[in-house]
Amino acid sequence: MKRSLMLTVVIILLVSLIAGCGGNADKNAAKDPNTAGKNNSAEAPKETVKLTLMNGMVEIVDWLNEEIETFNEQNPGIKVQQEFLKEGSGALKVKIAAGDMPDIIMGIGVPQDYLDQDLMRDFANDKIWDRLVDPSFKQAAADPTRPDKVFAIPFNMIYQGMFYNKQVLEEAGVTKVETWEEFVTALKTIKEKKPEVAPLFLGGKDAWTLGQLVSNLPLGAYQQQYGIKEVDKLLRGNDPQLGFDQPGGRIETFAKNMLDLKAQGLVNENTVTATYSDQTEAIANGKAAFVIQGMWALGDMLKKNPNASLGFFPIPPMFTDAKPYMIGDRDGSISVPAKSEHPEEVQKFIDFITSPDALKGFSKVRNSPSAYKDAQIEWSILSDDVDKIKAEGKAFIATKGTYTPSGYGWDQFGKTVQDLLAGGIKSPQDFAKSFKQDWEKAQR
Amino acid sequence: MTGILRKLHLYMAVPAILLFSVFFVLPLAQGINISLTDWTGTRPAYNYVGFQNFIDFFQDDRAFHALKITLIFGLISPVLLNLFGLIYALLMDLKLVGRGLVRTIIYLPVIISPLIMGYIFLIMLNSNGGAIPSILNGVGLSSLYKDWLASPHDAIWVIIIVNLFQFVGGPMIIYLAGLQSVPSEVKEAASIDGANYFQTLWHVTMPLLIPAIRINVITNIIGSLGVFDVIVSLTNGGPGYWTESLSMYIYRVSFEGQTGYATAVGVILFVVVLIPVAGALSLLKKADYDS
Repeated sequence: MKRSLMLTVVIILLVSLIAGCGGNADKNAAKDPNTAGKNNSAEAPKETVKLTLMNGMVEIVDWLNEEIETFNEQNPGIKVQQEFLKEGSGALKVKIAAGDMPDIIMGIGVPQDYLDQDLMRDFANDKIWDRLVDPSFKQAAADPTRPDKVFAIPFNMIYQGMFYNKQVLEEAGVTKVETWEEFVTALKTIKEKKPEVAPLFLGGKDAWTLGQLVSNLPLGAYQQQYGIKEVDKLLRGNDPQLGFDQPGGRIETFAKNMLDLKAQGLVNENTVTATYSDQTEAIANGKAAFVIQGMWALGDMLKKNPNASLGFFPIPPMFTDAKPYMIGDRDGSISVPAKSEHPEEVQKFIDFITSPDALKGFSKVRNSPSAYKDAQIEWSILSDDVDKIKAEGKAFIATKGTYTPSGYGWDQFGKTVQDLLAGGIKSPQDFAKSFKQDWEKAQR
Repeated sequence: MTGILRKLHLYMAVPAILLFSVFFVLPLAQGINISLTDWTGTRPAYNYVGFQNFIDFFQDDRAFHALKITLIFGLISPVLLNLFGLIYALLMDLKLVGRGLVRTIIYLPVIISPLIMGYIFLIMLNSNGGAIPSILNGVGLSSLYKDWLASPHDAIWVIIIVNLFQFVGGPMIIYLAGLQSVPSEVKEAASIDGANYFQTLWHVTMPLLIPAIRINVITNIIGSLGVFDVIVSLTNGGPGYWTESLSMYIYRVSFEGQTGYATAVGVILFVVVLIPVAGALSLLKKADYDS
């Protein structure tokens, strides 16, 4: 009995081994160029080229799946597969370190180190730039250290600003908000007339939402003071005239104003534990009057309440020498490795995904205007607001954010603001010193 | 042939030794090598900087704070896990109705990912409609509620409690197995000699539980000192950096482009785990011998 059982096991193992090797032998025969001709070349199926597309933007996963399905149907010899990784840049670093560079990268900022090593293709001479609505956008998309190179093709220009709930403001009788004083007065009015509503909602558990405030308020003011290009040189060189830890300087003033808002109850109580999702839910459902966010949040807000009555305007300036501020930046981009195994197939996909129809779809799904002339549509309920802001000309509209040291961005800024709001950092002066220390450390 | 048979056990160990070398010894050696460099993780080139990374660690206030949080969590959690695990095991060892169901309920959270457990508690603790503030409000105890996760000094205790809630089932099962292997004659003999329940527990049962205590203490210390997931979901190291453990610190600085430095901190964490584990093993070995 034992002997026959052993024999059965051995036979099963041998058969499995032969089946496995037999499968490999077939594949090897197909790959071998010497055998390809012998296999009746006219009818042998061409091997499908598989391309991996790595996407870091959760909001476009479904849209991208649909586009990929269409592309794959139109191109039977090519199969693009999407891989969504929330960690974005971090996940990309891991993949590249493991020798698993994706064929196409979308919606992920490629770390500067990789751009410096020319790992990504340079699109500077691509014909797509002729289609731009604003030719200066090409410069905004250029590599910060080598402006003659452009390592990614942007899709949209997306803005950050102040969302407001129209119904809440109407019921509270709040109208114009152009200066910081008017903004604080509006917050106080809302607190008094609508105590169940958070005047300004901060989603501080997601530290980047607080880091955004640093980027928009004090750093945005530096941009206005020195100019978009010049300020980057100063920030890169950590120029003392910026005065990060200067008493009464922009960083300390920002911290003081944040603490004042909290002390006066003009922000939600759970500033440090509320999430980005809580923030979008609050403004969409009238539980908050204002949130400072980017237009990418609109899709989420409308999911929470399709009938949300929302408006958008520039962020009121915290400093007397600044204008209302709206920061624009490229939203969505496509990069590809400089050395690709399938350059023709990759180019076909790039041509497809940057076609007017595809770009219109992207514009719609991201609720932001396309950067290209032939892809203009009514992109969201905020289109009129943004057009009005541009037409009025009162706001400073930046085409890109300021320089920040590698590894020191919104998340890290936000953690310092979290610390301030939670009482870990005791004073605005300490906040300014901590900010400066972290900035200098990140630059080393 | 006889010689080969005599050494057969050594040859049989070769595959295991190879696996151990490939998956532990080699990465450890590579890690120690990288810890002596300024590698960013993205550039292929790097320079050797000697022990500078280790010096930088001891000069960084945030690193020290992360070490402090790791030690607080890593030393308090195992004590609580073992204490409550033993108490639950003693209760489950009694012939109570429904103990099977209760045992299962206590153990169930162990099989959930710590990340998910953290998010569950984050939702429950949300001051805006979370279950815990709602219940406290409902029973007239709203004054007891505080946004603990927003407090630099209270947040770590929430993390410890959530970790205790999730993992107390593990030590409970091991202690229960230990209790059920204590011969009943020994306990009966103690009872005949006049020992009460607690005297029997302390003088008879506990010495026989030393092997179970050893397993639980060692595994809990190792697991607690490497805490990561539950902190990510509950506070992400916040507010600010107040609840950032060493594992989180390593993760953060690594992705900020300081891979050489992060690896050095990883070596430090290895030593931090090794010391209490070695100490506990030594103490428990002595206690086992004495018992």
